[in-house]
Amino acid sequence: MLTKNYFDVDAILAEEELVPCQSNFDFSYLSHLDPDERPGKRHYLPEGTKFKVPVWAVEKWATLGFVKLSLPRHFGRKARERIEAGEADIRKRNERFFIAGKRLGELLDTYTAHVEKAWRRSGDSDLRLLELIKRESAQLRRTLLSAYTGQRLSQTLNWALSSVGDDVTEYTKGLTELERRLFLSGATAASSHEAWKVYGNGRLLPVTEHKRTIRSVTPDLQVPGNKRQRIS
Amino acid sequence: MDFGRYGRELLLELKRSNAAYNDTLVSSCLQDLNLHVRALGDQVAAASRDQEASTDGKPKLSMSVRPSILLQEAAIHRNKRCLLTYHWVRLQRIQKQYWSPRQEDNEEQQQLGPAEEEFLQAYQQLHQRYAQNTLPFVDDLRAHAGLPPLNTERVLLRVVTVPTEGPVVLASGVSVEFRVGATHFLPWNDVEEWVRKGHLRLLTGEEHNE
Repeated sequence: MLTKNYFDVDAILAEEELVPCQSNFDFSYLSHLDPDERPGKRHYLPEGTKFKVPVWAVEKWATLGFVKLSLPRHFGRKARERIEAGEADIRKRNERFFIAGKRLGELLDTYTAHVEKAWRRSGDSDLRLLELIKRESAQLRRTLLSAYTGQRLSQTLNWALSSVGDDVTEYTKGLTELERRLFLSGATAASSHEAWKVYGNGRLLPVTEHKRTIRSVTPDLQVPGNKRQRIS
Repeated sequence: MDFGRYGRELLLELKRSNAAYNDTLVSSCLQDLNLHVRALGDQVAAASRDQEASTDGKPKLSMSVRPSILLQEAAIHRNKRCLLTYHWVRLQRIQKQYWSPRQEDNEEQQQLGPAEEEFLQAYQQLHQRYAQNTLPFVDDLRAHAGLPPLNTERVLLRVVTVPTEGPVVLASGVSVEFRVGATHFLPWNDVEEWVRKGHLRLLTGEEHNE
């Protein structure tokens, strides 16, 4: 289904984030997902196997309760504490940290909603696990929000709007892809504003690679030799 | 069969902007997609043969094969999305490049594949046909693409410094005399130059109540 970000490259790449899972029953044909599996030994993935798959691959399994999910290590509690303390190199953990984190939060919410409904119907009572996952998801969102909107955002905006013409490589190499997009938008707006202050809106576009032809309608409109004449 | 590997590489190619069209990688991705389609078909056929009878008598697929079937389907959609995105983004860049022929010094032109060259030619013909139908004396709208439309909308302004002494008649026919601190509601086209130079300041409407 085509959604707003179907063609968003960073959103697609963010779904490559590997999610730790545990199978709830035997999976046929998927023995190769077991990291400890010797080739050819089995043709199925046994129940209880722990493995990692990308977000895009596990989404349907999660909604149907085929696996138990948990957060990747660099989105876990200890990593979040370091991020909130400002001690972590976020880009080094994941170039699309915020987009991937948001996606993981959505995945966990979908997982808990579907599984809770199924377990209540069937009378299963591992709801403590679900509560734990819901809490983790909420804390992850809080961490993402505080990390994105804190000092990093004010620094990014400050640099984006005030560094027209400067070399910003040193600053931008620490930004995640989402922050770089924001930076680029701000820098483009600042540059356009500077250009407008100098040239206004009345500047002429030089004729370069494409030939601009003006076919005369009456003799009065002929402008011989002056290719830069604007038609008003 | 590496789930989603070629699709990922295609998107990473896009991040390396202005790389040439990678026909080899696109073919690998298509091949991968076809392998997943075949694997899905084989697994569904095998599972249908081994269907268990449920309590209501209707046959249903065994639970153990469902994860693999779902994974194959997800991989097919994934590859499709990566291929479509690769081509869509490149076409957007070609169109943008066409409408902005002035390039910055350090910005390279995008290298095109044969199909993209054909697209560009067809796009150019479409543009010329449209231009000829729109403005009879112009066959290239790109010279006008960077110019903003005429803006006769009125805006609220405060005079910071007097741009011109005494009463003045603006191009729109409005007569005005500027005094420092005064507020006026004037057509944007008439005052844009003075706003740029700092003689007049745009107000959002909230400052008017100060």
